[in-house]
Amino acid sequence: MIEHDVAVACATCESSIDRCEFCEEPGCRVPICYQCLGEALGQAMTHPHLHGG
Amino acid sequence: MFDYEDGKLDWLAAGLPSEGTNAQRPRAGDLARTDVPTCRLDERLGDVRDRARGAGWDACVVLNEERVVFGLLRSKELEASPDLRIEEAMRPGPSTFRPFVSIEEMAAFMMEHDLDSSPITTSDGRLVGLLRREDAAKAALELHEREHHSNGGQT
Repeated sequence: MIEHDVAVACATCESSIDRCEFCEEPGCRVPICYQCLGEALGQAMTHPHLHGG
Repeated sequence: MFDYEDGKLDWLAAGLPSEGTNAQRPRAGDLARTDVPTCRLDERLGDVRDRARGAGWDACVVLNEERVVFGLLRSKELEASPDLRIEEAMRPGPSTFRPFVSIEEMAAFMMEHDLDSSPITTSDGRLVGLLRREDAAKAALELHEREHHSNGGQT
């Protein structure tokens, strides 16, 4: 039998994800997507302002 | 003088030194245990489990020859059949975190998600160490208490 991940919603932005990017546990109570996790931990670069600075 | 072309974030992600007020605050890379057991894909789980537990660990990081993280064995994976090869037993492509991430953020996430340990890697995936929840939580608490006292008890 093939196991399929059950889609869940990111607790921060509500986008549909296969699993929590932090703990990778299917039953995570507070799943978070890759982008929100990157921003929460400061691992992602935010887009620069168009006017610079 | 030279420009580091990959940028400040990549410099910090490689665990290289930094200056300034924030450089004094503990980060994930400062507390990641570098003595975490490691293994290769083609090893036997029973051998790796004995080695990890013999060293007092309940986790092992799977690396290639260049120390790039391929997988992770936490207590659940270490419990599987001892005859499995590591590549069959491991949790492949685990989420990894950069050394510059604030220890308070990591501690909060690890407690909220009930996660015992998290691999810390450079931006090109090479292992820095394994951050344990108890180390992260203790450092975050000490930092909070130090800052609370330096503010005269005001938060």
